[in-house]
Amino acid sequence: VDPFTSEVQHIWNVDNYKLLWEQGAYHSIALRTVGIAAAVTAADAILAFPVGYFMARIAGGRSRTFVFVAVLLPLWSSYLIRVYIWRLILDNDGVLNWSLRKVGLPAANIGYTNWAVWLIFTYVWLPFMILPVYGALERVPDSFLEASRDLGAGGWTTFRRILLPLALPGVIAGSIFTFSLTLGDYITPLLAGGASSQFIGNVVYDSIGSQQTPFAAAFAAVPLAVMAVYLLIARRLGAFEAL
Amino acid sequence: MERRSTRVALTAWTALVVLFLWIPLALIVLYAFNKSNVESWPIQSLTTHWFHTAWNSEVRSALWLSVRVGVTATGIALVLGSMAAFGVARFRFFGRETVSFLLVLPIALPGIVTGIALNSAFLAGHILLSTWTIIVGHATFCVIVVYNNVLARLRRSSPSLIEASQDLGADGWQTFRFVIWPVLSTALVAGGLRRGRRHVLHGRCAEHAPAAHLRLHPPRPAASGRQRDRLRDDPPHGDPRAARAAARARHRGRPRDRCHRTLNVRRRTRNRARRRRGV
Repeated sequence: VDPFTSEVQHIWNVDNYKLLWEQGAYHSIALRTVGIAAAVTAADAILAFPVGYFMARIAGGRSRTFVFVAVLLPLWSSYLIRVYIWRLILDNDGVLNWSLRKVGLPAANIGYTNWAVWLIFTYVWLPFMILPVYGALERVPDSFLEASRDLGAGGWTTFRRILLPLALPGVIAGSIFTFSLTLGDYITPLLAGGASSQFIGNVVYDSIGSQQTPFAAAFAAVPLAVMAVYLLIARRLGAFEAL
Repeated sequence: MERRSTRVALTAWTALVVLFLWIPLALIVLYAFNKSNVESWPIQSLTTHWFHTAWNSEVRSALWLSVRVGVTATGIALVLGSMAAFGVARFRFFGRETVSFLLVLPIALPGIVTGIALNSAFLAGHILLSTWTIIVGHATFCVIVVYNNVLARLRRSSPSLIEASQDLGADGWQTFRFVIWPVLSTALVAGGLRRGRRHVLHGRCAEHAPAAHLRLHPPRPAASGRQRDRLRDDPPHGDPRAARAAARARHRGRPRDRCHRTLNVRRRTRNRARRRRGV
């Protein structure tokens, strides 16, 4: 970058990547981003699987539609608004601490921490996980489960050996959304995170703001690489069929 | 068939998750009536003041712009996305898998990366940023959603439908109008709807493809043609028990798709009649 005209000079080199590699701070930012993305994905999968199962196999027509709409509708509200409301909830004088105090528990005080970021991401991307999981579970024929029972498998065995392998592509498909969306996000950490919850996206955004486009591009290549690997694995596991 | 305790637990879990999703939304509505500017809880007094403030001409023009961008981008994405899906679903050509992979890949790209890439692309092409660049940007992402949606639907519908229609003497347009369109239209509406509201409400197009493949009504019977094919090719994980179960499911699940069956039956009777006549 030319310091005078602030135009980008096109010189091919690996300086930007080297800077990325040598600065410890960027390591921890990248690790934090990937770590929180993985934690969000895990939490969403755990939350979503029973819901998908309920929708696919237990709910009748009416209640299935109800849950479906209830899961889908929050997506219609703006992402920003949902992040802001969580800021209000997790605030020190927010709804969460207030209700905890009401029932006599100590205040949680997780506003503006990595916990807050994790919780908000989990909330915001949850529908993206529920829907593919539901889709996958619904395609498991009843007769499979009956057969498994006829052959003497208990509930847990049926779940582990029949249901889980068949539903896995759906979970992976959902995790593509939750993982990649968390990986690329910079708004939630900006609004609801603390000083120590910078994401890759934040660094990219700030670098663009301070005319460091080449460095931003170098750092943006990190989530790209991570996602490319992830997608290749996902394709192996058959997630694209379940999309 | 699940045990009662399991059912109760699952229902309770679902109820909790729905609550988790909806309590914040309820709070948003509550906060809209908050009289005080300070973010605090519990809310002291209520007012409708903010609704008057929010309904001014600036907000209305922004809303109108969002609607316009949403509709235009959705239209572009619908056409391009379904054309791509048709190409990939119906024909085998060199690099087909790659095209499919490349079309799906942008789902996973971080929003900020795609945004910046588009920005640089427009700058490099000396295109001034305008409403049209927004539309093009949105349409770019949304092609993928439509593509996924349509592709999933095409995979589930059997190609013999189209062959049957041709056998019965329909030309290309009739086949499209009476066979392909009824199969696709719900998928297109689902994809389009999801795209549209996203433009209107989201502002960003990073979180595209929510559940592109999902349809609002429960899908067809589990053992559609494609499903059976898959079971046949790929018995779940080599587990002998599951494989046996799969075999049983195969026998049980004949295609229940009415249209499909009638067309096939018609074709079969016609062929039989021909044979009898000695053609």
